[in-house]
Amino acid sequence: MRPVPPDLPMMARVEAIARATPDRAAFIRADGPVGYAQVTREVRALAEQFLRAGIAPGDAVGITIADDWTHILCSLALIRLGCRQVGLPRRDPVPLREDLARRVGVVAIIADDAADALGGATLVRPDREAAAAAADAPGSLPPIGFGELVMATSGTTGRPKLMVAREPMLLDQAERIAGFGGIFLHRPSFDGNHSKRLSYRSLVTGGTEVLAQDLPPRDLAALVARHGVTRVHLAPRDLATLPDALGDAAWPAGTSIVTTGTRVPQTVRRDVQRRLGCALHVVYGTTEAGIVSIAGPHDHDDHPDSVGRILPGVAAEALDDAGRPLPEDADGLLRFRTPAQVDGYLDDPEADATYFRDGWFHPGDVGRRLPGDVLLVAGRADDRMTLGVIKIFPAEIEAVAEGFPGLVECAVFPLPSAAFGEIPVLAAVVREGFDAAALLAHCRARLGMRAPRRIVVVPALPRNAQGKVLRRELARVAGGP
Amino acid sequence: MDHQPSPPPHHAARLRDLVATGVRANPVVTVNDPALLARLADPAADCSFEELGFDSLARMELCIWMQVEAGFEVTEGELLDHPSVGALATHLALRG
Repeated sequence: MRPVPPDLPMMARVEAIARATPDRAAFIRADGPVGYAQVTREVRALAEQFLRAGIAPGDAVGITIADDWTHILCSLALIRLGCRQVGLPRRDPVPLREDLARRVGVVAIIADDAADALGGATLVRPDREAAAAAADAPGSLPPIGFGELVMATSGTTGRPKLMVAREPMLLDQAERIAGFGGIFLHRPSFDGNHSKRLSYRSLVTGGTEVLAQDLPPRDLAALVARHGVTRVHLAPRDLATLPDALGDAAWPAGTSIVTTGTRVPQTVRRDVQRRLGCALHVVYGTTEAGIVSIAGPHDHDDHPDSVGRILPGVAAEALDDAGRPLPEDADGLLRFRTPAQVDGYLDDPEADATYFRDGWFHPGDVGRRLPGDVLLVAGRADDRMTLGVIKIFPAEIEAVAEGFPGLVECAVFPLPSAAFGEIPVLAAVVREGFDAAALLAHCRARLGMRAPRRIVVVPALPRNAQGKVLRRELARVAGGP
Repeated sequence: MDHQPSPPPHHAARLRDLVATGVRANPVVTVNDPALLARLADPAADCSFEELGFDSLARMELCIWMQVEAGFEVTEGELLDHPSVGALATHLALRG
């Protein structure tokens, strides 16, 4: 197959693959494979339905469709039309969806149920059966457009920050990820936009996506083996529990695992590779800038703060307090510039001024570069605490504590002290056999003055919908003496 | 002349026990001397922080321990002004 030029619209690339290899499996569903030609045919038919319902190229359109498969096809149809789409999942309460739809300027909502209508937006019900039965090449479609996806970052306070991801961001590093395995699946626990982007990247590289329900790890391993899956995307928490959950079941040989997260503990990374015998790729980046670096199978024994090697084409710098670039090996606030990054937030000039400056994205992470394009990330500047004159990142304590016997998960938060500033306290979710005094001693031996001074056992860590630990909330519930 | 009122005896004893526990838990200074340990454990005896080997770091750790384990915010200055286990306990009992 001839490579398809990347400057073509995404759906033009997918349609070129469909013409060259019509029967190649784009997806594998429970009832069998779906070829590229069938996918593009159904997408065109749905696009035509949307046009007839009054949706025009460039419109902002919401999607409230629970069924994954229908959602993927509708999403692709909107991309083909060149629309701006935003997911309005039912798990979000109506006021949140209304706010999102208003901020994005949604004129239509693709949904199965009239109850999902919001405000004055037109409700459009996709007719999947008609789309599946449609003859090829409906004649009335406009030229293939460039689609956009509205993405939100959680933040831990305030309203979500919204940004418009254009196709370069939607397809960020598609070829590199495809190189980790062309037949892939992801746990459905991934949030909607992450999942969509994995599907888009697979489609432009001629990959195959296996659509799976949420399965227990042993069943997941069996499904992977059955379909010859070569790449599995897992959320960091699922990754950490996978080796134990598999028990004596083997992980299929040759199936790599990809995870995404600001910081996946080194103990977890080594444990997974050693016990499962598979290649692990840990992707580091931000929603705004895209993928910055990847730690590959041979990088996990490096520095515990390593997020791998900065990718070609990506610029990453650490800055001093005056905003000047620092040499290698010096810690500072990081900034990134990538070919995929978004221009700014949708309706938040104040946040733009903080995070997007001079063509760079400033994520608020502190770290440094090492020789060989290795990037270390110590933690978020916002999370950094000061005990006396010592600067401490929660992440460095958590990295030492994680993997300790009986500890399920943990997060560090500051206890305010008039005399000393902030005292690090470790909130721990534990199981039987956990010894808090032993963990304190373990941390002290490795961290000295940077060790936590107290361990508070909590039933669960407070997290937001995206899984981010809410440290302020943690301090509120666990900060008492 | 010191005209401070005496704290209730049971309260002062409890605080003395608390400070002694904090001394034994100090991550910077480990008290191994049996004679010192016996005096730490004896409610009628006293021990100065100096003879316990406390330096600035150990004082800071004791202050932190007092806050995180007992909810008492104690400054290093208060430790220097009340430089023994008994004196600090009495001070805390009076300070409230």
